[in-house]
Order: sequence, then C-alpha cells, then structure tokens
Amino acid sequence: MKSIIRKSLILLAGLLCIAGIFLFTGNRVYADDAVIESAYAKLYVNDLAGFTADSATVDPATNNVTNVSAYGRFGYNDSYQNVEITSILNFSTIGNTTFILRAQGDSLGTAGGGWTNSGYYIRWYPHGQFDFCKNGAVLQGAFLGSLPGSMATDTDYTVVFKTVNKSDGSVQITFTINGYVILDYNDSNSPLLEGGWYAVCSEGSVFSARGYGFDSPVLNLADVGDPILSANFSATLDGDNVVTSGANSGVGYALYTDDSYTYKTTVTASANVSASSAFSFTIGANKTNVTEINRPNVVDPLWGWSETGYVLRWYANGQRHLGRAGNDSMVYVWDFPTYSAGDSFDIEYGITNFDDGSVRIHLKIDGNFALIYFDRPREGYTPLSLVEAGGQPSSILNYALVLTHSMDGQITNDEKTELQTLTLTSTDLGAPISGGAGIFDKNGSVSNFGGGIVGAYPNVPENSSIKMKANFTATAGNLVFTLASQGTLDTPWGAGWTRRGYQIYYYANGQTILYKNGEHICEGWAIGGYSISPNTDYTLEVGSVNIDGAIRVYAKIDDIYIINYLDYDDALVGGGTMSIYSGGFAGKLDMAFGKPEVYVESTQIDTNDEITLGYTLDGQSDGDSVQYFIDNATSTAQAEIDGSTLRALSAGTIDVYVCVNGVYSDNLTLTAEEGEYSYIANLPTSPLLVGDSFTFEGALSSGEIVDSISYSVEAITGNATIDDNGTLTATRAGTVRVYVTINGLKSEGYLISITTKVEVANATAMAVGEVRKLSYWTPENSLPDEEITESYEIIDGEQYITFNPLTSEITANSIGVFTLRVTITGESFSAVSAIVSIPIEAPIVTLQGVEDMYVGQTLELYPKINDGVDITSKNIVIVSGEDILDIDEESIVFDNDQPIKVTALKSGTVRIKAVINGIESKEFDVVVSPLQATIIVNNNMIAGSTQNLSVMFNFQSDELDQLAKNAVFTITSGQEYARIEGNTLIANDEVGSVTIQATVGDYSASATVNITSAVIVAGITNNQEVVLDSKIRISFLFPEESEVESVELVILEGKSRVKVERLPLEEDELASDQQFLISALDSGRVRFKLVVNGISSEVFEFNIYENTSTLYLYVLLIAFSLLVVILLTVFITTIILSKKKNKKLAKEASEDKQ
Amino acid sequence: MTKIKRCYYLILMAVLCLSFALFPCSSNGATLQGLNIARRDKQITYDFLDENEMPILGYVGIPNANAGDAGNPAQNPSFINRSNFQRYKDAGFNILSGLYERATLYDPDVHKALTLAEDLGLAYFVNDTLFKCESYAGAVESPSEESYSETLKNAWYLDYDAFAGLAVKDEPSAQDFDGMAKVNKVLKEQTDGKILYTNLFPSYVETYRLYLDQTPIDPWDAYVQYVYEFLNKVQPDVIAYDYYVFMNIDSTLENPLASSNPVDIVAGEVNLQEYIKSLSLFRKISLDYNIPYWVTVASYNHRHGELFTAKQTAWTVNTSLAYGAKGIQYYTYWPSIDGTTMESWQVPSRAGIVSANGTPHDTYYQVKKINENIKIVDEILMNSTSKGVIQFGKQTLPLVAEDTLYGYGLLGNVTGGDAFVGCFDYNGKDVYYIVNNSVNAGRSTFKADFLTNVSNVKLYNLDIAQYNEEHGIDQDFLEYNDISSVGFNLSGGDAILLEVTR
Repeated sequence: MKSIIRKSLILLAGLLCIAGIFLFTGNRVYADDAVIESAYAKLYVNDLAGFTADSATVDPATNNVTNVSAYGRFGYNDSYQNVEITSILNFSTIGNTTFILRAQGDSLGTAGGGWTNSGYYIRWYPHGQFDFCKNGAVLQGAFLGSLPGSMATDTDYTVVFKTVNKSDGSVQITFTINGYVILDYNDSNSPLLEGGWYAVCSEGSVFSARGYGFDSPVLNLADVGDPILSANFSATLDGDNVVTSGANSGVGYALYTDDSYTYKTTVTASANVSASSAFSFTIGANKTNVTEINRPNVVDPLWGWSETGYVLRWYANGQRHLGRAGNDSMVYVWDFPTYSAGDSFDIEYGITNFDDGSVRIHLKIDGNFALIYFDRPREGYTPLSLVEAGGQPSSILNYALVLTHSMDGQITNDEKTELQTLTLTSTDLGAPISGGAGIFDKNGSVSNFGGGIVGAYPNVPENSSIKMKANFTATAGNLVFTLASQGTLDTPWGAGWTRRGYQIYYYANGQTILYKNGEHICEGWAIGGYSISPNTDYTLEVGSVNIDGAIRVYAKIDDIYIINYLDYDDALVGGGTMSIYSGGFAGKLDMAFGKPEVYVESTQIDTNDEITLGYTLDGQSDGDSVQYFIDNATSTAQAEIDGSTLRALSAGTIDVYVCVNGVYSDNLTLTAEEGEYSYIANLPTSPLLVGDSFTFEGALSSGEIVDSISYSVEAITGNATIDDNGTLTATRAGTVRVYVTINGLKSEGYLISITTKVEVANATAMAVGEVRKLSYWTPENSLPDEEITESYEIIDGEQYITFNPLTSEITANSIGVFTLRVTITGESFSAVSAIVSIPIEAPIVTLQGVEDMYVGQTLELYPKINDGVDITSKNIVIVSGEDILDIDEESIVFDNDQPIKVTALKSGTVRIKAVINGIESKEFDVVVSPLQATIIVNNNMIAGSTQNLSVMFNFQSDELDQLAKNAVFTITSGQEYARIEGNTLIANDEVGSVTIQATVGDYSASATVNITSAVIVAGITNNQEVVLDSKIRISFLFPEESEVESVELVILEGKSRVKVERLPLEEDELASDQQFLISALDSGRVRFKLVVNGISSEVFEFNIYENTSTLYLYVLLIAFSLLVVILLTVFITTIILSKKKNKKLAKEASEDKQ
Repeated sequence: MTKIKRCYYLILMAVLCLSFALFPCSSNGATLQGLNIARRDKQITYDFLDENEMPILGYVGIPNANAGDAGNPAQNPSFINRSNFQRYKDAGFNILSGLYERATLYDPDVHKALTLAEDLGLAYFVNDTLFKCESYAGAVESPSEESYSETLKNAWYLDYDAFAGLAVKDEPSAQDFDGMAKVNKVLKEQTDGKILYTNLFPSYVETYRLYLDQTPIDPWDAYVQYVYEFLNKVQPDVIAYDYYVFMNIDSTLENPLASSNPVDIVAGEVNLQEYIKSLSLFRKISLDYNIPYWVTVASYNHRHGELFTAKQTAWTVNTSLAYGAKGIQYYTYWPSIDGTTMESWQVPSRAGIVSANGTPHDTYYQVKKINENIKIVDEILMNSTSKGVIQFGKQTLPLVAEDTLYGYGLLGNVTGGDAFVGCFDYNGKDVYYIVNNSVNAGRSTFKADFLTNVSNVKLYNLDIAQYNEEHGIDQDFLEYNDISSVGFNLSGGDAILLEVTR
C-alpha cells in the first residue's frame, strides 16, 4: 500500500513536471535552464530582421506565416552569430519539417540529403524522431532527445533554436520543442561559427508559424521622455539627452517598485574614451524608504561601493563585470566587442526576482545578452533581490561618454519570467561501501587518492545521489562520477567508455561535462568563469531523479546546478553502480557534514530489556540515512538492534555507534546487567488461521518457580483471544502481539501473524450464457479493517469462458469445466488461496410454484433459468387444456424473479411447461377443481347440545375467507329437531336428522347433521371393516353432568361372532370410564349398541373379515391341536394297554407263584 | 416299552419345540431365535442436531474431485465447496454423509467437508475406509475390537463439531454385521451421541444379497430375519432402510398389489403391501426397543429414469412420518456416478435432486418444500409415540392389523377425501398426522370431526405457516378453542398435523 502511495506521488510529481514543461512557452525561463545559461554566461538573442517567406504567406503586421509548403526563412544576418529564436508552429498537414540554422548563401535550396550549403539543420520526422545534420550529413554521435509521442495536427509546438559561439572556438547548439531538450550539442570539430539564415522548411508538412522575439527595439529618447531620469550629477541635460564631459559622473537614476524591471537606453562613447573607460550601471541598490528622487538617495556605482545592490560594468576593452555590494566580484566576461569613441549602443539592463529567492541580472548590448547572472540563495549569501517596497534607486555612471537614453517603465511580456522549482528527491547514499583507489574511513572520508576508482556504490536504487566536501590538492585533472552504470566498478573512460550509464566530469577549470553511454551530451561551467581552486572546500553533489519516462541527471557545486539535464531519449532510468573516479585529481573527499553522537536516556540496561537509541548531530545534515550498529569487536555483551531499538541479550558492555548520512559516530558504551525476565518459549512457525488455536508457553529466564502467570494479547490489525492457559484463538486476520506476565514480569510482545481462509463464494455450476461476477468468502468478521484486494486467476479451462479480470466477471461460453483460484491480500496479512473448479453445463429451465388450482384462482408461476443467463424470451406454454388456463401476458417480464400469472378458467386438467430462450422445462399437470363451499360442522351431535357452523372454501384467500364469514345458514329439513341462531345449531332433545344449507355469495353448501343419543361410542366408526381375531376397545362418552348409573353393550346381531368383555375398572375410575373389549371371533356382520342409564347409543355395525395369514395360523393351530390330540390319545391308550398288560402279567406271575 | 415311551417323549418334545418355534414369530412371519436386544430407556438424542430436529439426509452426497472408483475415477472437478453445501442446506437437509471422499488417516476433502458442514450448521457422517466393514463380508475376518478402538482413538476428525458418526457400508449383508458390531461398540464407548450410520436393504432385494449363502427361505421372512440380526448383533441406536414404493410403475394406489414388471424387479415384489409391511416392521422395532427409524424415499426412479411427481414424493415422506418414522432420507441428492465423465452421470437423464454439476432440478424445489413442511412439525413428531394408523375414505392401503386403529382419542371422522392418519401420543395430547391418501388428487377440503367438543386444536402445516407469516402472525399453526370439527385443504400426498387437547 505504501508502495502504491509512493509510486502515485512519484507519478504525480512526474506529471507535474511534464505539465510544467508544457507550460513553458515563449520566454518563460526554467530555473534549471537558467542555471545552464548562467553557466555559459554568454547567450545572445538576436532580434532577426523580420521574416522572409519563399513559398508562404506572411502577415507583415505580425510576421506570422501561413501555408508554408517548401520553406520559409526567418531572416538572416551574417553578423549575428549567436541567436535564440523562438517560434510557434501549428501543423495542418504532418510531414517532415526541418529547422536550418547558419545556412550560408542566399539560396537555401532544400534541406534534404543533397543539400550542399553549409549549415546545421535538424529534421523532425512525424513519428517523433530527429536527425541532426551538419553540411548536409547526419552528424553521428550527436545526442538527440525525443518528444513524447508523434507530431500532431492542431497543436502548438514552441520551438527554440539557440546557437552560441563559445570562447574555446566551439559552437553550442541547443534545440528544444515544448521545453523538451532535443539537442544540446557542442560542435568543436570545425564548427560553423558564422551566422546565416534561419529557416523552417517543409518536406510535406503544412503549418503556420508565429515568431517571437523578432521585433527590433526602437530606441527613441524622445518617445520616452521619462521625467524620472534626472541628469543631476555632473552631466548636463540637453532635452531628453544627457551629455557628460567628465569621468565618473552620474547621469541619472530611476525608481522601480516591481519585482522585475528593465531599463533601456542608448549610450554613445565619448571622444576621450580609453581602454579602461566603462559604462556602469547599478540596479537593486537596497536603499530603503526612498520617497523622493534626489541626489542623496542615489547610489554611485563606484568601485569599492559599499552599498547593497548590483553593479554592471562594460569596459571599452570588451570586458564585462558584475559586482555585488561590498565589492563582491562575481562575473567577468571578456569576449565581447569593444567600443571606441563615437560608438553608439542600445543598452538594456534589468532585474528579475524569482519565487525561490533567486534574482537574475542581465545586460544586453544591441539586443544581445552580454551577461546573465542568476544569484541564488545559498549559505552565507542572500540575493539582493529581497527589497522592500518604496523603491530602489538606480544610477548610471558615465565615464566620458555621451549618454542618450530611453525609459521603458513597463515590464514587457518578453521579459516576464516565471520560475518553476523542481524538487529533486534523490536519496543521499552517504559513503560508498566499496573502496577503490581510495579507502573511505569510518567518517566517510578518503584522502590522498590518486588516479583510478576512488569508491563505488554497487546496486544503488533509483533516485540516488551522493554529496561530499571536496578539497583538491592538484590543479589539474578531473573527478568523474558514474551514475546508473550497468557494470560494477566501471572505469568511466570518456568517449571510449562503452558501458551504459551517465558520467559527470568535474574539471579543475570549473567545466563540467555530462556523458551518456560515452557520448557527450551536456556541458556546463561552474559559476561563470570560475575554476576550481586547490585547497579550497567545495561541496559537490551528483545524482539522478527518475521522472516518468525520463531521468534528470544533475551535478552541483556549492549547491548550484552546473549540470541539470533532463534525458527523455532512451533514458537510463534504472539504478546500477555509482562510482567515483579520479582522473589525476588528487585531494580529499569527505562525505561527512557533521559527526553524530549516539544518545540514550540511560546507559544502564537489563538483559532482555529494550532501550531506544537516538542521535544528536552537529553541523550540516540533510540526509535521512540513519543506522545504528553494535561494535562487536569491543562489546562484551550480546545485544541486537532492530531499527533504533536495542535489546540486551547478555550481561556486559555494549558499544553502539550510529551512522548518519554515511558518517559514523564514536562508540557509546552501555552496561547490561543480568535481569530476570519472562518470555514465551514457543512460537508458531507459520501464520495462524482464523479459528485456529495455539497454546503459548511462558517461562522465566531464571527458571525459578512460577507463582503467577497470565497471558494477554494486544490487537494490532488482527485480533485474537487468549485464555489463562495461554491458548490463543485467532479471530481476525492481521497481526496481534502476545505477552506473558510471570510473577509480575511482563515479557516483550511477540508479533503473531494471523491469516484467514478464503473461498470462491459462488462456485456453483454455471450455465452456458451465464455471466457471473466472482466474489469471495471468508469467515465472518475474519478480515482486518484495511483495504483488501482480491484477484482471480484462471488455472484451467480458459477455452470455456471469457474472463474479465478488471470486473471479475466470468462469461460461460461452452460446456466444460474451468478452474480458478482466488487470492486476497491485505496490508497486514498474507494471502490465502483456494482453488475451485466450476463446471459449465447447458441451461436448465424450471417452473416453480405449480400447484392444483380452483376455478377463478390466480396463481403466480415462476419460470426460471440459471441465474446470470440473459433471458431473451420467456413464457408458459399450455401443452394441453388450453381453455382451462389463462396466461396474463402483461405479467411476463424477462426476469427470473418475476412470476407469470395464470388464472384458472374452468375445471379440468391442464398440462403446462415453461420455455425460456427456447429451452423447455419438464411438463406439469395442474388439476383445476371447481370452487366449492363446505360447511364445517360435526355431522353427529348429541341431542340437546349446540355447535357452531362455519363455511370453508376449498381454496383459501382473504376474499373468500371474508365471504365465508358472511355465510347465512338455514335448516332445509328436520326443523323439528333443531334450530339455528346466527351460526349456532341448537339441537332439540329428540333424535333425528337435520339438513343445513349455507348460502355464501354465489355458492351454497349443505350438510346433514345427525342428532344422536347422548351416548357417544368411541373406538370404532360405523360400517368399519375389522380383521378377524383383532380386538376393538370400546369406550363411551356421556354428558359430564349426568352420573352414569348403568352401562351395557348389547349385541344386536352376530353375537356368536364376537366375544364381549367388560374390562374391570381401576381404583380411581368411575362408571363413566367403563370400557368393553370386543374380540372378533368369526367373520361376518355384527351390530351393537351401548345403553347408558337406559339411553341407547347409535347402532354400530362392522364387518369381520379374515386375512390369509390368520387363516394359515388357524389351520396350523388346528393341525397342531389334532396332532397333539392324536399323540396324546395314542400315548394314553398305550399306557392303559401297558398297564393292563402289566396287570395281566402280574396276575400270571402270582398265579405262577401260587 | 421304555424305549417306546422315550420315543413318544421325544416326539412330544419335538412337537412342542416346533410350536414354540412357530408361535413367537411376529405378524411379519419370520422366525427369530436368541434375540438379545436391549430396550433403550429413551430414544437417542443426537449431539449433532437440535434435540427436536428431525434428521433429513440426501444421499448421494456432494462428490469430491475424480470421485468413484480409485482405479478408474470419474473426470469431475471437486464439488466440495461452500456454494454446493449452502445449496444442500437451503433445501432443508441437515445431515450429509461422506461417500466418495474417505477419511483414511487424513483426507483434505473430508477436512473441507467437515469444515464447511461445521460453518453451515450441518452434521456429517465420515466415511472412513478403516471402518468401512464392507471388505469383511464373507471369509475375511474383520479387525479386532481392540484394533478398531485404537484406530478410533487416533482418528483426526473426532473433534469436529460437525462429526455425526461413521458412515459404514451402505446396504450391508448380514455377514457385515460382525464388523459393524465392533465398530458401533467402540464408537459408543468413545463418543457420546455419535452414531454408526448404514442404510439397510429394502425388503424386495434378492435374498442372496441379504445372506451371501442364499438361505432358501421366504423372501419376507429372510428380510425380517436380516433386520433383527442387524439389531441383535450391531445394537444400533438408529435404524435406516429404503423402500422405493413407486419404483414399480405398475403399482398404484388404485392397484396396490400389481405384479412387478419382471424386467425391472429381480427379487421381491415392489408393491404397496410390502411398503406397508416394512413400515410396520420398523414401527414395531421402534416401539419395542425405543430405536428411531429413518426411511429413505426415492427422489427419482432410477430403474426407469423418471423423476417422481411432487405428490408421489410427498406421499411417501408423509405416510412414513404418519407411521412414526423419525428421519427422512432421499436417494439420490447428487446423481450417483455412472461412468467416468459427468455427462454419463446423467443416465438416466436428470437423475437426482440436483444435476451432475449441482444445478437444482425441479425436484430440488419440491423436496425443499416437503422438508420445510417437516420443519414445521418435527418438534412434535420427534417427541411423540406412534399409537397406530387409521384410514378414512377408501381403504387403499393394506394395513397390518397390529397397527390398525378404528378410532383414537376423540377423532370421530375425517371427510372430504381419502385420508391416512397417523395417531400419536404427544405428552398426553392427541396428535394426528393426516395425509391426503389420494396421490394424484387435486386439493380438497377435508374436515376432521371430533366426537365432542375439544378444548383446543392446533393445525400445523407449511401453507398455514406461510399464510401466517404473510399476515404477520408469528406462529406456524392455526388455533381453535372449544370446537367439534376443523376444516383444512390438502392436495394429494400432502399432510397436516393436528394437536388436540381434549
């Protein structure tokens, strides 16, 4: 999450930068570009003499050109060697477009490859690429940037082309479009120093162009006549002209109150001019509270001038000088035309304040910049632009010249400048961690390094910088820094270097050069004209900042940008090796800007206790790289550090030190003493799952007996409960911290991670055509209160579906099975995945809500197809019985949840089915019955009793229920046996039958009520079928208020077929509880009645029948009985015969004895 | 002579023994010897369900990936996921049995199924190959009781709240009972309220499948003996069986004893008489030993590949409940695997309550409605004792005399259509579970007449509960006081419950 925020901020910053670049039009000045200008210190803008169009239309009033079809010349002047031209192009047809500069000769010809004229040109191709040519040939090795994107129509392109003849004889050519640096090239190989044509040529493009900066200033003293110029020094005033005759004479002054001010005048060198004669101008003299223009308030721009303010001088020998209050000489420039007596020049000088506190001073001579200086806030210096309102006097000092002047009190648009500040967010890397030729000491310093690698930072991330104090002993050589190098410890050999990366060269003469991949792409100078002096402290800084699609590489000296280059062309945005190389530039590099000290509240600590380390830092430090260390070489105790938290692990001394921005402190010694502590002896090895439990075991370091132990848990992003036994049960994903307290000693907190299970929530089968948005399921309340991201991955079966990962929507296309995985992640817990396979099948149509109906009833039927299937047609089809059912067409809505209403028209059976998208459901039979009313009444009632009557329809609805309540009951027959009062039937004492009729709206019903004896027989219904050998238990009811005196069960018919038993009464039973048991002995009809107190009950009749199994048993029993009888008969007969035989034998024996 | 006398004594003893052997048989006609079945003080209370909740189970359960034969597995993805379990629960089921996923040592599918069941409040029978019992039928001796005991102690799934017990062999033969007896013994010893779950064969199965040795006795007697042998040996706390009464398409309520189509039925008859005899058999066991019985009804005709009508399914469920069943099972919830591709599972087409991919069929919504009706009345039925059944109107069901009542309590008559009434004692109150006994009938207005005014009648069913809910009444019944008759509407196969205070 943090990463996302960080990236977003970087992206936003990048967008702001790009937006800022696009805002740059006309003469807007970037602070960074301004730095480069100040570094060159010799940039000139030539007011070209109007526009000449060869095959285009030019508006003479505006110099705007339209319908360019071949080329157009923006003018020429051979003497104008250094120009900055701004034009705005707007294409109606896109084609190759070429910008020519310094073309020689009157005829430009074409800018193609056959072009033989001398000159430079840049060809802009529609797809956004550029060629840079010199004398008709592509100049290999020249670096060309690129625009983001192709050439577009109806778009303003602000093109700035700038050439500078440099003092070393080379030509610097700069070309930008909409602020993007396309070319920044130094031509030192037979450079084309002369001026010439500037032209914009079309090779197929059609565009209009507007020019900026082509109007020549008209300097007419009479036109101005500004009264605030006063020749009240030694000069004399002739009309608006000031005439001086002597040296060192002030000629006048003016007040200005705006942040920006430009003064234009014309000066003529007097006859007695000498080599040391100079025009001098002061500006920004900080004379406050000036309310009146008079001599005492004017500051003389004399050498040695002690007032605040800037002074500009132009000497006759061509030297120009910018000084600041206190004789602070800042810039000398020599190589500009000299002047001699009688020479006359247009002079312009001005001041521009910027929002960051910078101030720009410029001097123009004949429209060309003679000097530009950006005075930036830095330590010890405050730019003199910070003035109070009320005005600052400016004076002109004349050294033997005749001055004519013109006043321009307006701030022109051309000069209106705007500063845009670029925030560089490089991280200071501190001291290198790999040594080379030099060895960085603990304080981040290296001394006496010779040639070769001084140090290196392998694997540095993006947006890194290094900053150091440098003090060189040598007066020659260079110090080279490589950035974003793709090799380790690369040797940054100039143009021969073949590694990818940037190199920044600091030369002893103050020059800096930026190379990319061995190609020279940008050059700068230290504060205009300065060299790097030996034995002088400088602050050097190099670094890079990634911007979306580009990289800004920069170099600073004393916090002033010397190189500040935005590389859009195949920018090397990655990190890599950053190394420092010395090209014979011996000296000392010191990464230290102050030496920190470790700070702790107490140097005494118990083992296993924690203490927070801090640091104090004297001197300069703007980095944020802080790291604490334990000096294990000198410590006697064991300890560990987590960030700024030190934990003593054993007794002894602990030496700690801190490194801040690569600078190390001295050791601070802590004393650790053994202390008793509690701790948790076991920790889970993997995150716990919500719902899982884990039992922690607390222990004492001393191993002593534990008197009391308790556990606690602290919810962080997750949550859990813990019981007295240390059993933690995870209840929410995230992290918690667990503590044990033993004998009052609370342990450190142990961070426990909890995760949760996740499943695809709607993993049921899909139907072809169904669109389903996937969702996930986790146990209730198991997620922490943080942003949860879910993602689905198709593992298998992609061919059956279409999956939109952005919406998590699956569209089922064909029958098959696909497998997917869901992953959820939060900031504080790990993702847990589950895999599930989901089959796709043909859609099924069902019809719900079908039930039997009654005529007039309306039923809501729900034809349904699989959820998610787009319903294109839907209906209920009557297969048979069309005239029975009416389908309400208006109720058909193509939605699964909307029913179709059907109404039963008449009775019968109708067969229906649902059809959705042409797919049929199964068929259903619906039985439609006539709507009938039924009287709810007990058809049997006891004489003399009453009962309520009500009517019920065989279909219930609120309307019918209400109708039933209004039923009117009448007796249609048997009025002598009962009467009706309201809805109560009151029986007389006589036994008989009553027919009741109910009238309910259009319906009627009748019922017959038998008024029976007061004796009610229970346990049997009339005309019942009774199985042979079964038993019927008969009880009876008699009015409760009547005492039962006698009760008899009388068999009227079939007495032989049954056996009647009077069951004995239990102790607490009364005569009214008497029951009879009728056993069915033989098949046939039986009739009986019960007589209580002489009152007969209804006569009951039942039929006894036998079933085959019972018959079988009887047959078996009879057979068995016969068998037993036979056997017994045989047995007894045998015994009798035996006894007789024995008697006979005994008698015979007796007779024998006898 | 002595020899002759002894001979007579021997003959007499033989005759007596024969008679004793014949007479103790139940009305179901089987010969049973040496029964040692303890009567439970009370019926089991499952620790995995609410005390008053009736078990409702869908068999076949939700398949894991590549389910079926390990040697030739089906090519299917895993369906064990939250959505399918949620759908199962939404249909009113509260117990699920593992089938293809087996918990030998450890199995991630079983773990996931237990976890999902636990999350959703479902109970789950673990199918563990170590307790399968099926491989021991025949010659191979089952593991020892000690071995089972040790295995169960180390079982990893015991601590899951959803663990309801062990699903051992489905439709076991009598030879499997020894192994099951050991498993059930150690299960009872080591757990409380967990059960051994198996589903017994229906009575119409071939006799050789009941007894591998093809005991040559009457099929029905063989079945009764098979059931009692299960009771005697395994000592179960729950007994479950199936009987797919409408599977024989020739058998109708109008022609209940129609012969089976010989092509379809290879063993005993599938007809209403045996359907009732089976209910009667298990009702008797339930009353004799206080053991609840669960009835499995068919959700589709797997012999003919046709879905039953909603009325047929409702009638089967409700007649079972009227007879005193204390649990309902459906076969099948998920189509059983038939081949290696999911397409082949669809044979016969559209089998099961859901499709091979888990998509609901029409049956799903029908079963859901039936189950919702059960939930309206299950608290009463689970706490009631069956007293018998009564038929009013056409006497279409060949009832067993032992179960048949001609009156119960003050209920005098039910008119308006053919009614099948289960009579119960509910803590001193009379409860009547009244089923519209005409399977194909449309809705009729029924009327229950009492012999005299009763002080309070509560009328329960799903329509009433929904009607009440629509009218903002927070109760599942309509209540009447001091009334002599009550009217209600019923479609074929549907049922209402009357709770009567005299």
